[in-house]
Amino acid sequence: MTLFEKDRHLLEAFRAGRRDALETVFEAYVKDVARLVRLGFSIDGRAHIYGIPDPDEQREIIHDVFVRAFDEKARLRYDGLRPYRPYLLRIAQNLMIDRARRVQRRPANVGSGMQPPAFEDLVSGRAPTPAVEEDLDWSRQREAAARYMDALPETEREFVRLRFVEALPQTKVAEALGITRRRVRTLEKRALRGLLQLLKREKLL
Amino acid sequence: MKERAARLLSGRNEPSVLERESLARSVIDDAVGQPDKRRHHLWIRLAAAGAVGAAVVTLLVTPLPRDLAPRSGSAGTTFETICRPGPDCAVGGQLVFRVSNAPQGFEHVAIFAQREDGLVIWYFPTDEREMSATFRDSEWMDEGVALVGAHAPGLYVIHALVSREPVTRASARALVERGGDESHELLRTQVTLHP
Repeated sequence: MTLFEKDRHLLEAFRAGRRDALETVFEAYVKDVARLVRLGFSIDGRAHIYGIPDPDEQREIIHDVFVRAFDEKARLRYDGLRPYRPYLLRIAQNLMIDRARRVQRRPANVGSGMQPPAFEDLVSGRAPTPAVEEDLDWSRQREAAARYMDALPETEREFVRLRFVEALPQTKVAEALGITRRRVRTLEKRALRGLLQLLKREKLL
Repeated sequence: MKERAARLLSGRNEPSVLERESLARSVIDDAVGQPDKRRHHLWIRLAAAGAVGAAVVTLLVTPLPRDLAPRSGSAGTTFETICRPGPDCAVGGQLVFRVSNAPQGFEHVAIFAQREDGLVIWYFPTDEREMSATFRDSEWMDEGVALVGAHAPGLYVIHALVSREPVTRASARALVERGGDESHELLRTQVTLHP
């Protein structure tokens, strides 16, 4: 059942281009698109389109996928019944193929020996998470981030959990903690700044 | 940096809540149209959304220049492009660059194109880990760019950041946002790509 079948009002609002509806659809599918862009994919086990390691480039592709899907003509053509996730992944697939033709060489993660998952597995959700860490700095930085979070006062640790781990919007975090949105913004900046300072002190950045 | 820190706090190396919120805003602005807002490239909008100075924000809301005939930098440096096979630039052709009259010691150039819809296409450096290309003054660069993939027909602004030292894409972005400095000249031209 698609997101739209569960909520028919959503389809109406989506087709009308209402921001709240578009945000809901974006949030529902962005992780799937991001995963395909990061991991890459294989077609028929032969052609390999390798994942994009750079977060800036990843965001550019994700952005373009959703801009195409949210274009007025595309929204009006969509009936709410056809599976939406494969549709988005097809757009991402085409943009990744275009990019691969443009750069005409493989990105840096080829050296890890990883083969990208099959496109059909990504569409069906069967693609395994790769065992090889693509980002060599990640483990060390993540370990420092865990230490940083452990050392935070209880309220700030709870804030980090709600805002970053649970990924709640600022308004929901403010409600959950009984604080103002301004305070949420302050805590957010402080958490990010504090972690970056720690990473710099430990020469992990 | 901020995006990286947010990913680390989430414990997942995937777009964080901050990136997703920022992306959603930019996608929706572009998709449903914001007649009062110009479309800017994603990194520019992300930078504007982040903790960057007011001066940067001022620069970023500057409309794309429309009179972009090849122009000189402060020291008389010029940046030109031609298309092969020519004379017009067409999808499937090749775009070639030339920097002339650069100051002594300026031998490196970072080049990217900006499509009318704001999409940025990097030419040099060829990826995030590479450095800008070297050029010989007043000579067409050996390495051209194939006008395929994201090169849809339309108007493109081609940006060149000429420098003494090679730069990464990240440095080039920061310098473009600052409008260049004493060691870097920012030049632009425009290309109309035909079907």
